[in-house]
Amino acid sequence: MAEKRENWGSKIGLILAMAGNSIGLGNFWRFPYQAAKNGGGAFMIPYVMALFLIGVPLMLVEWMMGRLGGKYGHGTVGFMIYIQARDKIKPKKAIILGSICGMLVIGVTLLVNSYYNHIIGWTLGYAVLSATGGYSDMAVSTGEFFVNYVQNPAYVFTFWIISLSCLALAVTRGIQKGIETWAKIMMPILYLFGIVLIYKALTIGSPVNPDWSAIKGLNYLWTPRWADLNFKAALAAAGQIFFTLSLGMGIIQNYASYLKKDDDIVTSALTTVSLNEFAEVILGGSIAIPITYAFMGVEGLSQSIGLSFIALPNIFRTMDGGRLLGTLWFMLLFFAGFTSAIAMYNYLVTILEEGMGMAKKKASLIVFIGYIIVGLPVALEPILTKTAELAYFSELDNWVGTYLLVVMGLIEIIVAGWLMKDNALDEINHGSHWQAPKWIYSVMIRWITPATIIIILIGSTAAYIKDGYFKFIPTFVAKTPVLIPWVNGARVVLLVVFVLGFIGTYKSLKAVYGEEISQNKVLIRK
Amino acid sequence: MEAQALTFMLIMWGTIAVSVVVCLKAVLKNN
Repeated sequence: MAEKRENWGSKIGLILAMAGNSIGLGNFWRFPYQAAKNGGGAFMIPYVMALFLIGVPLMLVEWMMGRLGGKYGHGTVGFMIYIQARDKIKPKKAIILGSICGMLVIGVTLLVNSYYNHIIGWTLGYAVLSATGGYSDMAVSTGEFFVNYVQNPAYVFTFWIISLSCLALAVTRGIQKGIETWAKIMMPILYLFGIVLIYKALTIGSPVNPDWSAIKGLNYLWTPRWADLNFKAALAAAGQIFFTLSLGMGIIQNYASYLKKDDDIVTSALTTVSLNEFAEVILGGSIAIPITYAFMGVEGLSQSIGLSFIALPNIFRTMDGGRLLGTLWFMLLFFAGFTSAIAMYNYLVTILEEGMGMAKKKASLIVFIGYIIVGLPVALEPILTKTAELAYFSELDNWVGTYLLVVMGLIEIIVAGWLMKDNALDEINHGSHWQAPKWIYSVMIRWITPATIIIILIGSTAAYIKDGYFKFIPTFVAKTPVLIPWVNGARVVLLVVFVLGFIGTYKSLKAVYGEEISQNKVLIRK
Repeated sequence: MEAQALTFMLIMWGTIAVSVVVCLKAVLKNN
């Protein structure tokens, strides 16, 4: 199997694909919103701490896991965890741990993309509407327009299916001709659009009110408000690091599994992190907030996803050159989301290829159908209930898009720090141009990073209990009975995916490592 | 912009920009 695996065609292709994998919608709408809400400049202190305490060590571990898995011919997390853990806890226990991790990552890549693909569809739809002046009718507020959009099957289904088809096309073409080629085209365009948008944003001046300007927006974003710096802000910062670097999702490992066994890890992983931070802190922080502040003042910044789909369109339709800027903004979001969604799509295709021996084309088609099935409730809920609360989407996002990433990150770092037979640092440094120092392993990977993640997990659990997410009827839908079946439906889907994911991973592991599992002794080494 | 905000912003921007250049240079040199 290992001999047949594809590899990346060039280093720059790998870096751009990995950067595309990490850089997603969250860099452009989630980061500025989180920073503005949680202390402005002061937010950067827990953010940078989380980047160094969690982000960098976990990124190195995920690259290492991926390359090691690829050496054995595996591109999925269940196998990778099994291989890393089997010496210390023996194959019979390692298969259970591998199956649990496989289950979690299948849940993440299938269900996160079930709504993420819709958001990508919305960005594509809004790019077309921006170019054609589709939301320029001032009689309809952009809030109402957004509600109409998500309740309009023609818009929702057309752009969703187009986005999904492009993803399928990219993945079917393989690593070099598909994913790498698309990343080489989309990522430079994304950075270019970002720089053009920053230039336009910062030269807007004060078009509506002399007290509002883009520079004042930047000032608002970066002024440290120490009173807002608390444990909640630290949790938000750590959550943002997981989200922005695509950690705990299995997709970094999947891309890293296409590395050659002597390929560099340290330099490449750090380059991915720095490119992601460039897109997030410099580009992401300098577009949406300054533009919104210039037109709406601080009041306009109170929305999260609404900032992109409601506040900004309202500005684009009134400003000079707004159609062009709107198109650039939504295409930028589309490219950012698309290059992350490819990674999740490819992960599931890899499972079918490696676990069931399917051809890539067939596997890609099955994943396409799978995404249609799990994504249908996201599309149908607003249409059938005539609401725009997106309860099914929110419930999935609370678990697979947020909470479970932290759980997965914790398991990965513990396995790398405590369960690997060989020192994880030797594996990380093997073939690397820059060598990670010893303390990265002995202090960070073994102690500090897991301890920090445990604190975050406890804090997140307490926040989830307080916010009523563990209740049979979660607080956020308690006053809207029509949405309760959609939330419970999301939970049933989650449960079914987890059960199937566990069984599927267990069977795949048994098929390849059955002999050593039955003897409870490691027999296969590469 | 106020001095404190500008300082925070420039420190972050500068650090990230330097990291990108150093990392990309190292990666491309060892391509």
